Amino acid sequence: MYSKEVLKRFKNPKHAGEIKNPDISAEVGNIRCGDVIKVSLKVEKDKIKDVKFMTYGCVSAIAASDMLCELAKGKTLKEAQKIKFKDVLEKLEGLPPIKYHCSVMAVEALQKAIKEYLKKAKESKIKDKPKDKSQQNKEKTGKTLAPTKKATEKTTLAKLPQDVKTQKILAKHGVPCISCPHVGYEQESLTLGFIAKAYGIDLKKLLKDLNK
Amino acid sequence: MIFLRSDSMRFSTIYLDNAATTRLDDKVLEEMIPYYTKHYGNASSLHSYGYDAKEAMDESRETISKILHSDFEDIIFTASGSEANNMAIKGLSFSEPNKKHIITTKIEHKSITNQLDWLETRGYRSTYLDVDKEGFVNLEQLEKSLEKTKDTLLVSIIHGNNEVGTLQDLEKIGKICKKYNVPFHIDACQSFTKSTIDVKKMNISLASINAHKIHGPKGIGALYISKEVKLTPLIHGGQQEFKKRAATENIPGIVGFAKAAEINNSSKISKQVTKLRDDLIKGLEKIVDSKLNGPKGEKRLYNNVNFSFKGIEGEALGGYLDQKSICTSTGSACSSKSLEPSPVLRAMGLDYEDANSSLRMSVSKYNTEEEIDYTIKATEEIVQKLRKISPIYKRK
Ligand SMILES: Cc1ncc(COP(=O)(O)O)c(C=O)c1O
Repeated sequence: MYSKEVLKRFKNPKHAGEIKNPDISAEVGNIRCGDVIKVSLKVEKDKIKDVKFMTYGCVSAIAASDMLCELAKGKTLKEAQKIKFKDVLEKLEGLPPIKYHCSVMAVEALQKAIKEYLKKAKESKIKDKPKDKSQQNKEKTGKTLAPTKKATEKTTLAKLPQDVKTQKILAKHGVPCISCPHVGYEQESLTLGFIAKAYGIDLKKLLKDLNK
Repeated sequence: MIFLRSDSMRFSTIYLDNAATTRLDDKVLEEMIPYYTKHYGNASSLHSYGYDAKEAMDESRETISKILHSDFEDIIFTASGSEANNMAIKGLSFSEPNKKHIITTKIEHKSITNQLDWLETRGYRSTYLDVDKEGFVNLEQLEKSLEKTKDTLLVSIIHGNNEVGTLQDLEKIGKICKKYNVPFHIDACQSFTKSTIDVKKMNISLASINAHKIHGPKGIGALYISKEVKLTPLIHGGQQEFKKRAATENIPGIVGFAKAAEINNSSKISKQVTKLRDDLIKGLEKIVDSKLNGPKGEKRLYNNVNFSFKGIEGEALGGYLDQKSICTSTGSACSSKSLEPSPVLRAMGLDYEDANSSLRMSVSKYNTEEEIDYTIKATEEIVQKLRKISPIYKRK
């Protein structure tokens, strides 16, 4: 069921634990789907000097968290931002498809931590200059996308309308944690076709409902 | 459920997943072998080999019917507990096509719930009765539901729950069903020979049982069918099993089933396993922030233990236990295909965290006190280790 690498990582995770006084830490996931992953970083000269994880989760979640840390350690923030869940999957020699979200979440936690770190760094540089209002608005509405476009198997989660109706359809078809708001970053690389295959969802029916 | 092997261990494997299936008893195997190699006749054949097979089958049927306090001819052998459950509900639905309502509970095995899901696509309605926090069915709701509907096909209730071990009060439920004259089916796959079932006294119309949960062979079960209900067969063909189920009988399986039932129907084994269960419960209760799911004492299957450990996830705990060669099972979302934690635990009012933090350990007569002690220690160690890396476990 699990690959050798997954079992190796699960059995003896190298990066489990907490960094004392981390420069930043971030948490994703929820107890409902059974996984919460927290990543903390020590950053030096834009390089990830140390990274550790805390995970409430299953065998795959622990293995994926550990592998993610392995991939991120020593990289510059810029390089680390390029890590995708598929990289974690590959290094783990695969996960059972139903567990893909574990790797998605691990990457998500890292990206969230980096983003928050950069934001903090920027804020401390321009502390006195509050953001102007128009920019804030832009940030908020940035995610709404043309809802008229037809969903296909190549459509990514990011391209779907971010409304309750769509969320309901995704939930009805059993698109798991991915449809929950915690998973932001990977939305751009998760296509409906990929998700359907991973979770055994009837793609045709899902598309039909989405395109109603 | 998890396949992790360990390299060097003190004990050989400690098997604590006896609710999933059990080790075949050597005495059962001994009894079965001659029916593969010597008396291998077809029980329908009219020659000595056939008579031998028929005789062995009759004796086995007698043994099982006595344990259930039923009549000889009311026991129908099937190929599994799942088949018995399907025969009970679908078989009855074919004979009573106008009755479109089924009452069951929120803590059933998949061989009931998936059937009902399918029947619902064909115009059936089901009522799922609530359970309390220990897993006992709400009997007032049962009465109300029976009162409200005039087309109830049957009431189907799991006797001993496979996840948390709750044993329902069959006598009370039987009385209610009798009052409304609705057939009463029990799924007794976990409870057969472990808890008393008297089909007549308890007014049971149908009872599903199987062999592999009591150190018998896999692939053999039976359905008790009271003379008061008429079932349409699911499998048409020859005249076997009083024309209720066609197919050449699985004589070695049937013989093994009866032998296993005879051996397991013993107060000595019951006492022995109950002690193991209670020692395990006592030990695990000592772990900080742990909670037993389901009732204690006689209203719990004597082999079932189910705990939630705050702040950690059940599959990870099971995975590390497997590293120490201890086989267990979890109701966490991670182990399910739907990424939803156990519906049974949720129905008992556990929140997502407690349901995802659950672990089932089910003991048998082959476990030892030494194994139980080792398991308690190992569990405590792993729980602490997992809590150290848990972002949600709040240290007090
Ligand atoms: C309560 C219950 N019902 C039914 C079954 C199905 O039995 P079988 O595996 O013989 O089909 C099981 C065991 O898996 C069970 O625990």
